[in-house]
Amino acid sequence: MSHVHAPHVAHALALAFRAIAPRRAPPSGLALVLTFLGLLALAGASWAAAALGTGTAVALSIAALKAALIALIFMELTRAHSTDRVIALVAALFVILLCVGAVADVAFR
Amino acid sequence: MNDERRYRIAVWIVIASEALLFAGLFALYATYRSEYTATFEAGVRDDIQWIGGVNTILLLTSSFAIAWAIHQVRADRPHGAALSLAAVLALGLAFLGLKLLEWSQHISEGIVPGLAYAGPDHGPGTSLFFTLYYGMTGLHALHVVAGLALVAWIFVRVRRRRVTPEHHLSLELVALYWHFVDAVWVFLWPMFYLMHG
Repeated sequence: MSHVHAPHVAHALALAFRAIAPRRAPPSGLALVLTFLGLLALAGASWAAAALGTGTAVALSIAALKAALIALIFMELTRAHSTDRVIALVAALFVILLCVGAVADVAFR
Repeated sequence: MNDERRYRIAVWIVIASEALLFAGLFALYATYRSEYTATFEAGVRDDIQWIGGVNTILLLTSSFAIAWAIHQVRADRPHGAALSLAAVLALGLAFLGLKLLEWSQHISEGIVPGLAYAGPDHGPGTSLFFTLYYGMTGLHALHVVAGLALVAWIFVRVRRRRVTPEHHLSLELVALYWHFVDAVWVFLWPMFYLMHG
């Protein structure tokens, strides 16, 4: 029977993550300003979508875009250590899984 | 593994745990919204739209300000960093002030959590919506308070030149937490102010 050690799995995940998204330099001042302007534009889009009554999926998709910008640029996940990225990714996946599961439970009752 | 890695991993684990705490509440909201869709849409219309919008702009701006503070420290501009952190404190306090204003207005209209609810009746699930509203925005406000305490502490450190271009891990870790608080609000805004059908 083969044994898989958790630290080895975590190390392999971290290496894979580093290969997919290599670490970069800190965001420049311009990148921070552009991200902020992007967030404001998305906030405007959220408001406009609500005024037009586009629905829940659009509202939450725009929110997810804003959260992604905050995480990748402001929280510097684009240059974070692979371990930090894995922790953030797993947490985000669990949040999505829990919410989708809750909605599916009601929808398919 | 050096101390910096240990601290960073610790903060990311705290953030991941906090995300799962909010995830439970998001799932609860999703379940009840699926069950009482029309009631929740009516409840969203009862919330004070302009306060939700202004508070979103305040928190997004504060996130930019704390990211800018790190940028200033890296460029060895402690005065600029201190000014940015002062802006974060002012924006966070303004957020809390508006939140208190909204709650006080709701309470005066009988919109209170739980069995004491005496506000507009939108049918079954009305009290549930406002209980979730107070619970989730209240928990988030507590995180804002904790974040402000941390920002105030790091502001003092920056003013005393304890945060330098070479040693600014503490500022980065406080900023991570503050951005997380902002990211949670980014979802609370549509849930309680925008998704009205």
